[in-house]
Amino acid sequence: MIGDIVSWLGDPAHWTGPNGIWPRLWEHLGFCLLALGIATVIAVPLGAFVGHTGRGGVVLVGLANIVRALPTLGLVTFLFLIFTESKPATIIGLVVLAIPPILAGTYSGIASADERALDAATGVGMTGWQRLFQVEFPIAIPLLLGGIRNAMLQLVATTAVAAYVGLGGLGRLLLDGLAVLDYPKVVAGPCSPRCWRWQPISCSPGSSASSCRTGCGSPQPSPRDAAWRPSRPPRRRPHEAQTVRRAVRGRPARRLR
Amino acid sequence: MFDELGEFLGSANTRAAILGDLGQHVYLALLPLVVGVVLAIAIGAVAHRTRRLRGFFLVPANLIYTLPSLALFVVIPGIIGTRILDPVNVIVALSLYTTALLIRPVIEALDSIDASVVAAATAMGYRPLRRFFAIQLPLAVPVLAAGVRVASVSNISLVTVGAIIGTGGLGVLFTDGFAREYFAPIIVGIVLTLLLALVVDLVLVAMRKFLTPWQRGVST
Repeated sequence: MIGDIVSWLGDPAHWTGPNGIWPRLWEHLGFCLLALGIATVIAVPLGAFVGHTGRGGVVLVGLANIVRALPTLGLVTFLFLIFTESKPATIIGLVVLAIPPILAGTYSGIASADERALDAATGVGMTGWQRLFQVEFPIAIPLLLGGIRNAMLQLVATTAVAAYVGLGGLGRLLLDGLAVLDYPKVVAGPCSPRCWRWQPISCSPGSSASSCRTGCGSPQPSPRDAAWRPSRPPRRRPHEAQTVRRAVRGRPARRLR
Repeated sequence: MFDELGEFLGSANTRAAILGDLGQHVYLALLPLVVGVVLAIAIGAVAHRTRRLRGFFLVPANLIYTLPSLALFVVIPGIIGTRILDPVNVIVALSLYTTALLIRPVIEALDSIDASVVAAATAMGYRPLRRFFAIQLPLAVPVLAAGVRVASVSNISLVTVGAIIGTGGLGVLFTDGFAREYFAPIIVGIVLTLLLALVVDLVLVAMRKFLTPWQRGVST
């Protein structure tokens, strides 16, 4: 296995080109930093307000906990379906997930300022703003940066998940590799690049690769094409939805359109 | 959107499937939590006693926690030799996360115990093992419980990522809804995941109250 990895990494063809490691790495980093930037712009002033005034702390902590429990995959798929264009929607999802750690860091950093230091600041005649920028912010910086670090951590992981809905990044490599890991035959098969959205779950571990790719043969537009987008399916009646659901689970690769 | 939701939930088959997913989700999220807590307590106890081992455990713990979940889910079968669709992958990955997340709270909790209490226990003739389980561990519960709550919430949310690699749980509703461009399963999945996290959190708070009778009446 190690040998495989080394030889795969050693192949220069895997590093460049649209699906190479470098472009994917930059893409990944770009999405993370973009989301981090937007989240910082939103979360730091909000956290500073709450920490400075002491108002809304309970709401903030509750909200942060709820977002922490929010399943990233659910949020990302949900936003992807709401907004027809995939990338902005996914970045909104990433921003939503990055806000709580930064918010919590800013809030706790500013709230951690020593009462006496604040009294002293007021005592020497500082206004509220001066106190915020000259006393509370410098004191808050370690915890604030800790929050940003946590957010980045979260973002790197979530961006990988976001590749599932068609955002690029390193997650793309993971999913592509995953699609071929357990089914070596599919690699050789003519349809392998198009079948990335089949549902591996519906192949029971015992079933053979060939039975898992039933229905992959019909040519379909590759979702990697930027313009590709499946047409909206007709509204289904309940019993129909049922059959479809069973079909999705029972027989994997059939596209339900 | 609400009509869709009604249709989706109106069918008994769907409801049965969702219940199955929910059961699977609870199993996949809580088993690693238990494994992780036990491992973290064991490692934390060792690291607490020998200070030199602290860095030895804490540095890898921090590193493990930075690994993206999806990457870990995908790589683990290659390392431990399971099949890619095996739920064991998710269980192992989440146990790793839980352990990594809890080692630091365990060590900090053990550190925070008043040394005179431990000394008193030693003077009364408690041997190290019994002292640990009868004195130190119970006193560590309040700090530990906070860490376990965080770990449980993050586990419950991470199990859904497993759906991408094909293990069950509520994440299946997301991949399903995404593949069919169907809102209802996604909404049901999000709501159920949040509810599950809330319920488990409440149970953990209740357990903490039960385990720390001396703190009753003190706000958490």
